[in-house]
Amino acid sequence: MTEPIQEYELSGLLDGELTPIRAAEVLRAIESSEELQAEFEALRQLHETCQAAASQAAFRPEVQIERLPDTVPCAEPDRKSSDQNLYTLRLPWLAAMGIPMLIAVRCVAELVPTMAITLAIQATALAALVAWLVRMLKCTREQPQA
Amino acid sequence: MTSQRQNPLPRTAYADLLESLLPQAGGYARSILRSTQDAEDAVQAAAMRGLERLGSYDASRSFKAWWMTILRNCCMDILRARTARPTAAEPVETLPARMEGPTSWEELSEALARLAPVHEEILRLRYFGEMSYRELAQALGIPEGTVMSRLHHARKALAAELKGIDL
Repeated sequence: MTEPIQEYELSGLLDGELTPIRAAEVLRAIESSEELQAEFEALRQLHETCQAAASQAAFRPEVQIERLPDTVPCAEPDRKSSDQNLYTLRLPWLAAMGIPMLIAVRCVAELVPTMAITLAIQATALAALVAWLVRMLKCTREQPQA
Repeated sequence: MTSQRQNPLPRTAYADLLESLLPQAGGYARSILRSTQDAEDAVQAAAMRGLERLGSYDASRSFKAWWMTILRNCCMDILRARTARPTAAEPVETLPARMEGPTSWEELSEALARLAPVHEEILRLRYFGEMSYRELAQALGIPEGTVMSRLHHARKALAAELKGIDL
């Protein structure tokens, strides 16, 4: 059973947005009604007039697409590169910490315990400082050019 | 769900998609702002804003619908700034309704501006933005069936406004 034609389906037919079966049904309804014919013709005229008028406004703005930044500015550093930084920094960090520790352990027998502990703490702090400096230098080198 | 952590659209793909939309974007912005210079500014602003918000773009949906929504918001920003700070911009001439219907884009834009906002918006996107029903549905956040009925009623309202075509 064919559903009754809805008025807005005239626009759907005009815009080619009806299914083929439904479009055929609406066309049959139009052909059998003078009132629908007049309404559809008026709609078609208005549509074509508006299309023609609107097309005059189209112009290509001078958008500087090539000047858009390569990526969206990211608040956090790239995880992959920072992971790589940590991995490559681990070895010198361990070495910087390990060598003074080995010396401290070697000398612990001859040193007062307090001095040994102090030396170990200072060695750890020095190693952390060196590692942080190296990381800052690498991040500075990897910053995109302004 | 799209998020900043997923790979956003590459800049080159974004630029390519945007390039294909520029003529309609220019016409659409110009119809709202009635100024070629302001239309260029709006499109440039929308290009930048779209790049900043690529993370919010769902690739399964229409890029045109997503980006034209951004463009519309940029046009509204310029209009608000223009209202807050009147400048010696291009004089907006109120053109009388023509019995034969609009013969220029300025006349059509003027006629649309006299309609209810919901009708003006869909007609502007349809004719100046050259958007399909699917794109209109996504841009306006309504079902495609509603696009058809809303567009039809908007056309009837426009015809009544023009006073030349009795639908």
